[in-house]
Amino acid sequence: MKYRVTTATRTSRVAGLVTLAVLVFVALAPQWGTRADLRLIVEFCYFLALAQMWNLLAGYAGLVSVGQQAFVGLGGYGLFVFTIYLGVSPLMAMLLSGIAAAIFALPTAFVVFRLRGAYFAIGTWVVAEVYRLSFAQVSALGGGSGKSLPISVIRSIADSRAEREVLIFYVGLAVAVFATGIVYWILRSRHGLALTAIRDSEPASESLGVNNFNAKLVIYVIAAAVTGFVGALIFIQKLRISPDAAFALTDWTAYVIFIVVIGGIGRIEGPIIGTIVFFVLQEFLAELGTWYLMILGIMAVVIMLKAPQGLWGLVADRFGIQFFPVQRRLHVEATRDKEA
Amino acid sequence: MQWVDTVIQGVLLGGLYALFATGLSLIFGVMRLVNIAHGDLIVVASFAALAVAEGFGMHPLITLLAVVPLMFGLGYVLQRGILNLTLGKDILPPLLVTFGLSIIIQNGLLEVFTADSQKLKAGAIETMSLQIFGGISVGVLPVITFVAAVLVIAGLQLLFFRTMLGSAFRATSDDPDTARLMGIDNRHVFALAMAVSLAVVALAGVLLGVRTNFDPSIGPGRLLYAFEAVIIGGLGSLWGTLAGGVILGVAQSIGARIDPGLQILAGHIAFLIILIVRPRGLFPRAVD
Amino acid sequence: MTRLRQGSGGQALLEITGLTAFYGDFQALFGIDFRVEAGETVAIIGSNGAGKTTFLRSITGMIANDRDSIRWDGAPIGDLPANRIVAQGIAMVPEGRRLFPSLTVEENLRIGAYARSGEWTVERVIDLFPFIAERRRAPATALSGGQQQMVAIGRALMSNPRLLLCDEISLGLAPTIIKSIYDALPRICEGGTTLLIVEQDIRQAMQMSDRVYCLQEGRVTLEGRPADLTHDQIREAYFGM
Repeated sequence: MKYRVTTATRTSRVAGLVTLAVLVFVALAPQWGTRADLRLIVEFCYFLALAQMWNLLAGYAGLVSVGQQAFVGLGGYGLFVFTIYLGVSPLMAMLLSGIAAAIFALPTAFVVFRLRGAYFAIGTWVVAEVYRLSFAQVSALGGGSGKSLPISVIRSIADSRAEREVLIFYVGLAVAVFATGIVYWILRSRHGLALTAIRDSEPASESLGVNNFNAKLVIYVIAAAVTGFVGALIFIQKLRISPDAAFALTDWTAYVIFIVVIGGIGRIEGPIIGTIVFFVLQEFLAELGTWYLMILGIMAVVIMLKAPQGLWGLVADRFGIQFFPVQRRLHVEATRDKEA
Repeated sequence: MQWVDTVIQGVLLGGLYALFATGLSLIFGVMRLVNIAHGDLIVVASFAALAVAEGFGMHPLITLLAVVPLMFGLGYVLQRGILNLTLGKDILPPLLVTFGLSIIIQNGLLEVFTADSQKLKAGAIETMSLQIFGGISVGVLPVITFVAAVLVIAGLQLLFFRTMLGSAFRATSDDPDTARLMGIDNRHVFALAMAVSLAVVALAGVLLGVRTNFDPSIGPGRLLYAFEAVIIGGLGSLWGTLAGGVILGVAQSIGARIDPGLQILAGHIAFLIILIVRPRGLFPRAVD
Repeated sequence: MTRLRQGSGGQALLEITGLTAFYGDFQALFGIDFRVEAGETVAIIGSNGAGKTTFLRSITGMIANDRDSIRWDGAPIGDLPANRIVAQGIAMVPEGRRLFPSLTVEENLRIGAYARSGEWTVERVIDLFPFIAERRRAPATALSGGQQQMVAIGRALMSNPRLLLCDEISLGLAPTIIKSIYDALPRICEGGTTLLIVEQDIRQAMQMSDRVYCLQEGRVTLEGRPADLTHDQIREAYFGM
């Protein structure tokens, strides 16, 4: 018997080409799009990146966090601290904000990793609240009412408004691609196998010698870093920060959870599909205000109850397709040796 | 003496937090469900009391006669109709479904009652106070709230340890499959547990509404207090939950005494410290 | 110990025809035909994985079945959920005893009467297993394995069953304790309860039953009165060789 372990499929190769074509088209948006288009694409990108990170945590590492707004907020405030008080250039400040978020993730993990399952979820939320309330106490950052990015810092991003918007656009595109890529890379590595084992059965994976704590910690810190970078991106676009906006549960976690659940939890394609659905719904329903959030919530509840694999899962399971194959397939070429 | 006063006020505040937490603790004990919409359901009870009080011109405390059965029924239907479907080995469905419910409830309340801040007007009782020692006085309402918390927990202890339904709750919690062999319908038992939980929530919501202003957005904050009280006290221990509520109330009261902006932060930090020092809480249940 | 079969011409107490059971894609039972008459003691033997426990789980409704595959007193009960079976008068002593650890010994007994009760009371169970009198308030986990087994039997009796299913009640217990448990069973039958016993110990099963069924890989391979069966027949039915 010969064995071959592969992860690629024919659909995945076709999908790769399609993805590449879409990416090239989107990357040319500064040529064909309006300023509103660019802004919308950046929003799409940061929601996609946040969704990929949340999916990495909840869908693969079993870490259902309701406190990812902590890292969005830390990244956002990091941008303001690094640029205003330390004189770092905005792009460098965004990178440093991601690193700072990762550093804050370590003591956070020290506390919340003591809680399991649903209690972990609420624990992360408490910690995010602690960060929010703490930043509200810092008067140098505007306390509870917040702070605007000074003109001098805005100028240092790029000279003209148009240049700034194009630069932010490419940073946004890059982080979305990076977030999707790193999830793909992690899942295809040995690490990914360990994660899937943890998600599927914690005791079993422990008995296989998978070090759950370290594997989870690594994932948690990576997600914090990317989420923190996205936070810096969000607030370089918004130009103004306040504790309530930076650590907003609804914006940075509730929407993101709905995106992943609707798209398909535990699948890389899920956040992509979910983000598309989210933006399409927003286009048609945003003026409904509170009804919009209720509809999103109802959709997420119904999908969780009736089709927990999400919209992408429904499609993929029916047609057996995977755009980003992370499952290893075992091909057994029978060579009719002697009977077992 | 001011500090003694601060602590006493904190203990009484803890009674309210214990009422928030008891329902959460109860359903976790029976079915390992963590209801993220718990805080929003407290606010639902406050608004229900408001609607009844204004609609029929009733005193807010009298509305309990309507709100408690209403929430009891809501709990039964919610569990039977939706939440039972989420129970299983996977923790994601209950978590995400109750999270979705939380968002739905908040926005539903916004739609019906607007974002305006409301209060249940209880008249003279709101300002009545009792003189205790050393010139310290305590409000009658906070005392009533604390006594209510003690009575509710004592009542639930009786329910759990002195009735057949209580045995069924504990048996189902231990081993749902074997419980079915005893003729226990788990879906019904779980629905009753949620009904009892929301009956307590009804009381908590009314007392909250009489004590402070409320609006549709405050549910998540109440969930966090409830959660913190449960964890501080130790999972599954009802008297522990009362102790947890009291510790949280005292921490907040001391924080507020230092700086009004620190009230909530101080409570969260006390929780995190206890979580680091005693991860299983102060009074963890012997059988887990 | 053997008694005459009663009313063999009439309607069976429990009649099972063509029962199948699946765990996902895995088929565990392949068309079991089975009957128990009122007042009989029937034993089921078979090696590990023969399907004995699955069979009992089907009867108790823990596994969903076709409505007509299981008839109780002539009425189809195959599709009843587990929590409605006990009210019919079928009680189970599950494998591994499965007492509720948060409940005291007495509460464990009383919960047995949750859905149905009758002549069996806590006092009568104590009469059957006297040690319980002193341990009523003890947590169920504080008892020895044999004592737990007796409480588990008592708990099932509290529903006053017409049919008592016992799944491997001798498993993991010392011989003297097994003997005292089996010695108690005739007193249970005296009250009119019919027994269906799953037992790995063939000798024990043959000794105490009126009729025995042997299962192998989800099929009935042998059925008969112990006295009528030869060693070779049993060996072949049990091991398939």
